[in-house]
Amino acid sequence: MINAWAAPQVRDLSDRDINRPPSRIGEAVVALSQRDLLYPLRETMAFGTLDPVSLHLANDWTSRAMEVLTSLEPNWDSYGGRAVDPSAADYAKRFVVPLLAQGVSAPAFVPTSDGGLSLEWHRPSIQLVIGVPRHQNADNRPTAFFADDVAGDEWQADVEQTMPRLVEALSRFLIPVE
Amino acid sequence: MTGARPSPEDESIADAAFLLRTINPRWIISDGAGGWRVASGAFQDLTDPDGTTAMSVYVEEILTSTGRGAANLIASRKGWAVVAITAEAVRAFGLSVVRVPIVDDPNGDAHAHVFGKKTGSTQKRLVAAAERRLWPDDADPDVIDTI
Repeated sequence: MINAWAAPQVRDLSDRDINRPPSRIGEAVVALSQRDLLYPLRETMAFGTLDPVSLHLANDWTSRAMEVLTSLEPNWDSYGGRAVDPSAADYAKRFVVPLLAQGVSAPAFVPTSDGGLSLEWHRPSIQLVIGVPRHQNADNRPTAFFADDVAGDEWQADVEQTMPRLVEALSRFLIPVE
Repeated sequence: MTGARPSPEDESIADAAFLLRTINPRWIISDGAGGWRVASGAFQDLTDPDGTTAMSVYVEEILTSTGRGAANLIASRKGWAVVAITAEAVRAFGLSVVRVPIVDDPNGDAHAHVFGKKTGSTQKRLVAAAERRLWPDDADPDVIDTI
Protein backbone atom coordinates (compact mmCIF):
# COMPACT_ATOMS: atom_id res chain seq x y z
CA MET A 1 0.00 0.00 0.00
CA ILE A 2 1.11 3.53 -0.64
CA ASN A 3 0.02 6.16 1.78
CA ALA A 4 -0.05 9.43 -0.08
CA TRP A 5 -0.04 11.41 3.16
CA ALA A 6 2.95 12.21 5.29
CA ALA A 7 1.81 9.96 8.08
CA PRO A 8 3.17 10.56 11.58
CA GLN A 9 4.20 7.67 13.78
CA VAL A 10 1.27 6.65 15.89
CA ARG A 11 3.21 7.07 19.09
CA ASP A 12 3.95 10.68 18.16
CA LEU A 13 0.34 11.62 17.58
CA SER A 14 -0.55 14.95 19.09
CA ASP A 15 -3.66 17.05 18.97
CA ARG A 16 -2.26 18.73 15.89
CA ASP A 17 -2.12 15.47 13.97
CA ILE A 18 -5.71 14.43 14.14
CA ASN A 19 -6.38 15.22 10.50
CA ARG A 20 -3.59 12.95 9.41
CA PRO A 21 -3.79 9.21 8.93
CA PRO A 22 -2.15 6.53 11.03
CA SER A 23 0.97 4.74 10.04
CA ARG A 24 -0.23 1.45 8.60
CA ILE A 25 2.87 -0.63 9.20
CA GLY A 26 4.75 -1.84 12.26
CA GLU A 27 3.46 -2.06 15.82
CA ALA A 28 2.46 -5.27 17.53
CA VAL A 29 -0.96 -6.80 17.40
CA VAL A 30 -2.93 -6.45 20.61
CA ALA A 31 -6.23 -7.91 21.64
CA LEU A 32 -9.16 -6.18 20.08
CA SER A 33 -12.79 -6.76 19.42
CA GLN A 34 -13.34 -6.73 15.71
CA ARG A 35 -17.02 -7.33 16.23
CA ASP A 36 -17.46 -4.03 18.03
CA LEU A 37 -15.30 -2.09 15.65
CA LEU A 38 -17.01 -3.28 12.52
CA TYR A 39 -20.43 -1.92 13.27
CA PRO A 40 -22.15 -0.49 11.24
CA LEU A 41 -20.40 -1.51 8.04
CA ARG A 42 -19.59 -5.13 8.81
CA GLU A 43 -22.28 -6.58 6.59
CA THR A 44 -21.77 -4.28 3.67
CA MET A 45 -18.07 -3.65 3.33
CA ALA A 46 -16.66 -5.03 0.13
CA PHE A 47 -13.00 -4.16 0.33
CA GLY A 48 -11.65 -7.53 1.38
CA THR A 49 -10.30 -9.14 4.52
CA LEU A 50 -9.43 -7.00 7.51
CA ASP A 51 -5.82 -6.94 8.55
CA PRO A 52 -5.68 -7.14 12.37
CA VAL A 53 -2.45 -5.12 12.53
CA SER A 54 -3.97 -2.34 10.51
CA LEU A 55 -7.17 -2.57 12.51
CA HIS A 56 -5.22 -2.11 15.73
CA LEU A 57 -3.35 0.87 14.38
CA ALA A 58 -6.48 2.42 12.96
CA ASN A 59 -8.26 1.93 16.25
CA ASP A 60 -5.39 3.43 18.22
CA TRP A 61 -5.05 6.47 15.99
CA THR A 62 -8.77 7.15 15.75
CA SER A 63 -9.21 6.73 19.51
CA ARG A 64 -6.53 9.31 20.19
CA ALA A 65 -8.09 11.72 17.73
CA MET A 66 -11.46 11.32 19.41
CA GLU A 67 -9.91 11.94 22.82
CA VAL A 68 -8.64 15.26 21.54
CA LEU A 69 -11.92 16.27 19.96
CA THR A 70 -14.05 15.35 22.97
CA SER A 71 -11.77 17.50 25.12
CA LEU A 72 -12.01 20.75 23.18
CA GLU A 73 -12.33 23.82 25.35
CA PRO A 74 -15.70 25.59 25.39
CA ASN A 75 -15.85 28.26 22.68
CA TRP A 76 -13.00 26.58 20.78
CA ASP A 77 -14.39 28.00 17.53
CA SER A 78 -15.03 31.53 18.91
CA TYR A 79 -18.75 31.03 18.31
CA GLY A 80 -19.51 29.29 21.58
CA GLY A 81 -18.78 25.85 20.18
CA ARG A 82 -19.01 22.69 22.27
CA ALA A 83 -16.55 19.84 22.46
CA VAL A 84 -17.43 16.86 20.31
CA ASP A 85 -19.99 14.79 22.16
CA PRO A 86 -18.81 11.28 23.15
CA SER A 87 -21.77 9.83 21.29
CA ALA A 88 -20.66 11.42 18.03
CA ALA A 89 -17.06 10.42 18.67
CA ASP A 90 -18.07 6.84 19.31
CA TYR A 91 -20.08 6.67 16.11
CA ALA A 92 -17.23 8.18 14.12
CA LYS A 93 -14.77 5.71 15.55
CA ARG A 94 -16.93 2.71 14.75
CA PHE A 95 -17.47 4.05 11.26
CA VAL A 96 -13.90 5.00 10.41
CA VAL A 97 -11.74 2.29 11.96
CA PRO A 98 -12.76 -0.56 9.66
CA LEU A 99 -12.41 1.73 6.67
CA LEU A 100 -8.86 2.67 7.55
CA ALA A 101 -8.00 -0.96 8.18
CA GLN A 102 -9.17 -1.85 4.71
CA GLY A 103 -7.21 0.78 2.87
CA VAL A 104 -9.58 3.72 2.68
CA SER A 105 -7.66 6.95 3.17
CA ALA A 106 -8.22 8.80 6.41
CA PRO A 107 -10.91 11.47 6.50
CA ALA A 108 -10.43 14.83 8.10
CA PHE A 109 -12.10 14.78 11.49
CA VAL A 110 -13.84 18.15 11.58
CA PRO A 111 -15.55 19.16 14.81
CA THR A 112 -18.73 21.13 14.34
CA SER A 113 -19.83 23.95 16.60
CA ASP A 114 -22.78 22.02 17.99
CA GLY A 115 -20.73 19.09 19.24
CA GLY A 116 -21.06 16.90 16.19
CA LEU A 117 -18.46 15.71 13.72
CA SER A 118 -17.98 16.06 10.00
CA LEU A 119 -15.89 13.27 8.46
CA GLU A 120 -14.56 14.67 5.20
CA TRP A 121 -12.78 13.11 2.26
CA HIS A 122 -11.73 15.54 -0.45
CA ARG A 123 -10.00 14.98 -3.75
CA PRO A 124 -9.95 17.22 -6.82
CA SER A 125 -13.56 17.35 -8.07
CA ILE A 126 -14.89 14.74 -5.62
CA GLN A 127 -15.89 14.87 -1.99
CA LEU A 128 -17.60 12.69 0.57
CA VAL A 129 -18.83 14.13 3.84
CA ILE A 130 -20.35 12.10 6.66
CA GLY A 131 -22.24 14.34 9.04
CA VAL A 132 -22.48 12.88 12.53
CA PRO A 133 -24.92 14.75 14.78
CA ARG A 134 -24.09 15.42 18.41
CA HIS A 135 -26.73 12.87 19.39
CA GLN A 136 -28.02 10.30 16.96
CA ASN A 137 -31.70 9.46 17.04
CA ALA A 138 -34.65 9.12 14.71
CA ASP A 139 -34.69 12.85 14.04
CA ASN A 140 -30.93 13.33 13.87
CA ARG A 141 -29.37 10.60 11.79
CA PRO A 142 -25.87 10.57 10.35
CA THR A 143 -25.95 11.65 6.73
CA ALA A 144 -23.71 11.06 3.76
CA PHE A 145 -23.13 13.70 1.09
CA PHE A 146 -21.23 12.81 -2.05
CA ALA A 147 -20.36 14.97 -5.05
CA ASP A 148 -18.44 14.18 -8.21
CA ASP A 149 -18.28 17.43 -10.13
CA VAL A 150 -16.86 15.84 -13.28
CA ALA A 151 -19.53 13.17 -13.51
CA GLY A 152 -22.24 15.55 -12.34
CA ASP A 153 -23.20 13.12 -9.60
CA GLU A 154 -24.40 14.52 -6.27
CA TRP A 155 -26.51 12.95 -3.57
CA GLN A 156 -27.26 13.08 0.13
CA ALA A 157 -28.89 10.34 2.19
CA ASP A 158 -29.06 8.75 5.62
CA VAL A 159 -25.94 6.68 6.14
CA GLU A 160 -27.84 3.59 7.22
CA GLN A 161 -30.10 3.69 4.18
CA THR A 162 -27.57 4.19 1.44
CA MET A 163 -24.94 1.54 2.04
CA PRO A 164 -24.43 0.37 -1.57
CA ARG A 165 -23.90 3.92 -2.81
CA LEU A 166 -21.83 4.79 0.22
CA VAL A 167 -19.52 1.83 -0.24
CA GLU A 168 -19.10 2.79 -3.89
CA ALA A 169 -18.31 6.37 -2.84
CA LEU A 170 -15.80 5.19 -0.24
CA SER A 171 -14.06 3.07 -2.86
CA ARG A 172 -13.13 6.33 -4.57
CA PHE A 173 -10.89 7.10 -1.62
CA LEU A 174 -9.02 3.81 -1.41
CA ILE A 175 -5.28 4.24 -1.08
CA PRO A 176 -3.63 2.99 -4.31
CA VAL A 177 -2.01 -0.43 -4.08
CA GLU A 178 1.62 -0.47 -5.16
CA MET B 1 -36.17 26.54 14.74
CA THR B 2 -33.85 24.27 12.82
CA GLY B 3 -34.13 24.90 9.13
CA ALA B 4 -36.59 27.70 9.62
CA ARG B 5 -36.29 30.66 7.31
CA PRO B 6 -37.50 33.69 9.18
CA SER B 7 -39.68 36.18 7.42
CA PRO B 8 -39.25 38.90 6.54
CA GLU B 9 -35.63 38.96 5.41
CA ASP B 10 -33.45 41.58 7.09
CA GLU B 11 -33.42 44.24 4.41
CA SER B 12 -30.87 46.30 6.30
CA ILE B 13 -28.26 43.90 4.96
CA ALA B 14 -27.79 44.59 1.26
CA ASP B 15 -27.22 41.80 -1.24
CA ALA B 16 -23.79 43.23 -1.94
CA ALA B 17 -22.77 43.11 1.71
CA PHE B 18 -20.04 40.66 2.59
CA LEU B 19 -20.61 38.31 5.50
CA LEU B 20 -17.45 37.26 7.32
CA ARG B 21 -16.97 33.88 8.99
CA THR B 22 -13.94 33.16 11.14
CA ILE B 23 -12.27 29.83 10.43
CA ASN B 24 -10.36 28.16 13.24
CA PRO B 25 -7.45 25.84 12.39
CA ARG B 26 -9.55 22.74 12.87
CA TRP B 27 -11.66 23.84 9.92
CA ILE B 28 -8.69 24.13 7.59
CA ILE B 29 -8.07 20.73 6.03
CA SER B 30 -6.26 19.10 3.12
CA ASP B 31 -7.85 19.59 -0.27
CA GLY B 32 -6.44 16.28 -1.45
CA ALA B 33 -4.24 17.99 -4.01
CA GLY B 34 -1.44 19.38 -1.89
CA GLY B 35 -3.27 22.47 -0.71
CA TRP B 36 -5.63 23.47 2.03
CA ARG B 37 -9.31 24.29 2.03
CA VAL B 38 -12.14 25.23 4.34
CA ALA B 39 -14.00 22.18 5.63
CA SER B 40 -17.66 21.78 4.86
CA GLY B 41 -18.16 21.39 8.59
CA ALA B 42 -17.22 25.05 9.02
CA PHE B 43 -20.63 26.02 7.74
CA GLN B 44 -22.99 24.51 10.26
CA ASP B 45 -25.45 25.84 12.80
CA LEU B 46 -25.11 26.13 16.52
CA THR B 47 -28.09 26.06 18.83
CA ASP B 48 -27.83 28.82 21.43
CA PRO B 49 -29.05 28.37 25.00
CA ASP B 50 -32.16 30.31 24.03
CA GLY B 51 -32.97 27.72 21.37
CA THR B 52 -31.97 29.76 18.36
CA THR B 53 -30.36 27.58 15.70
CA ALA B 54 -28.25 29.49 13.21
CA MET B 55 -24.76 30.11 11.86
CA SER B 56 -23.00 33.25 13.07
CA VAL B 57 -21.32 35.73 10.74
CA TYR B 58 -20.20 39.36 10.86
CA VAL B 59 -21.33 42.03 8.41
CA GLU B 60 -18.13 43.46 6.99
CA GLU B 61 -19.46 46.89 6.13
CA ILE B 62 -20.48 47.48 9.73
CA LEU B 63 -16.93 46.71 10.83
CA THR B 64 -15.31 48.86 8.16
CA SER B 65 -17.62 51.79 8.92
CA THR B 66 -15.88 52.09 12.26
CA GLY B 67 -12.34 51.44 11.10
CA ARG B 68 -12.33 47.74 11.82
CA GLY B 69 -12.03 44.78 9.48
CA ALA B 70 -11.56 41.05 9.14
CA ALA B 71 -8.33 41.17 11.11
CA ASN B 72 -10.19 42.34 14.19
CA LEU B 73 -12.16 39.09 14.23
CA ILE B 74 -9.08 36.91 14.62
CA ALA B 75 -6.76 39.29 16.44
CA SER B 76 -4.08 37.37 18.37
CA ARG B 77 -5.30 34.06 16.99
CA LYS B 78 -2.45 32.57 15.02
CA GLY B 79 -3.39 30.24 12.21
CA TRP B 80 -6.98 31.37 11.92
CA ALA B 81 -8.61 32.52 8.69
CA VAL B 82 -11.52 34.71 7.69
CA VAL B 83 -13.67 34.02 4.65
CA ALA B 84 -16.30 36.24 3.06
CA ILE B 85 -19.53 35.46 1.25
CA THR B 86 -21.99 37.96 -0.15
CA ALA B 87 -25.45 38.13 1.33
CA GLU B 88 -26.74 37.67 -2.20
CA ALA B 89 -25.01 34.31 -2.51
CA VAL B 90 -26.25 33.17 0.88
CA ARG B 91 -29.81 34.11 -0.06
CA ALA B 92 -29.47 32.36 -3.39
CA PHE B 93 -28.82 29.14 -1.46
CA GLY B 94 -32.20 29.49 0.24
CA LEU B 95 -30.80 30.90 3.46
CA SER B 96 -31.66 34.18 5.16
CA VAL B 97 -29.57 36.71 7.02
CA VAL B 98 -30.71 38.65 10.08
CA ARG B 99 -28.59 41.13 12.00
CA VAL B 100 -28.41 40.10 15.67
CA PRO B 101 -26.05 42.36 17.65
CA ILE B 102 -24.52 40.69 20.69
CA VAL B 103 -23.04 42.42 23.72
CA ASP B 104 -20.31 40.06 24.91
CA ASP B 105 -18.20 40.43 21.79
CA PRO B 106 -16.11 43.52 20.86
CA ASN B 107 -17.35 43.12 17.29
CA GLY B 108 -20.83 42.09 18.33
CA ASP B 109 -22.43 45.13 16.72
CA ALA B 110 -21.70 43.53 13.34
CA HIS B 111 -22.95 40.09 14.30
CA ALA B 112 -25.66 38.41 12.23
CA HIS B 113 -27.32 35.02 12.01
CA VAL B 114 -27.67 32.93 8.85
CA PHE B 115 -30.83 30.87 9.14
CA GLY B 116 -31.83 27.87 7.11
CA LYS B 117 -30.86 24.25 6.68
CA LYS B 118 -27.21 23.69 5.77
CA THR B 119 -27.42 20.49 3.73
CA GLY B 120 -24.31 18.90 2.28
CA SER B 121 -25.05 20.57 -1.01
CA THR B 122 -25.49 23.95 0.67
CA GLN B 123 -22.25 23.57 2.59
CA LYS B 124 -20.41 22.65 -0.61
CA ARG B 125 -21.70 25.78 -2.29
CA LEU B 126 -20.91 27.98 0.67
CA VAL B 127 -17.32 26.74 0.63
CA ALA B 128 -17.09 27.37 -3.12
CA ALA B 129 -18.53 30.87 -2.79
CA ALA B 130 -16.31 31.87 0.11
CA GLU B 131 -13.51 34.29 -0.66
CA ARG B 132 -10.39 34.18 1.46
CA ARG B 133 -10.16 37.51 3.26
CA LEU B 134 -7.37 36.40 5.58
CA TRP B 135 -5.57 33.12 5.27
CA PRO B 136 -2.66 31.71 7.26
CA ASP B 137 0.69 31.99 5.52
CA ASP B 138 1.20 28.32 6.16
CA ALA B 139 -1.90 26.33 6.94
CA ASP B 140 0.05 23.23 7.90
CA PRO B 141 -1.44 22.20 11.27
CA ASP B 142 2.12 21.53 12.46
CA VAL B 143 2.77 25.24 12.59
CA ILE B 144 -0.65 26.42 13.61
CA ASP B 145 -1.35 27.28 17.18
CA THR B 146 -4.71 26.09 18.33
CA ILE B 147 -6.75 27.83 20.96
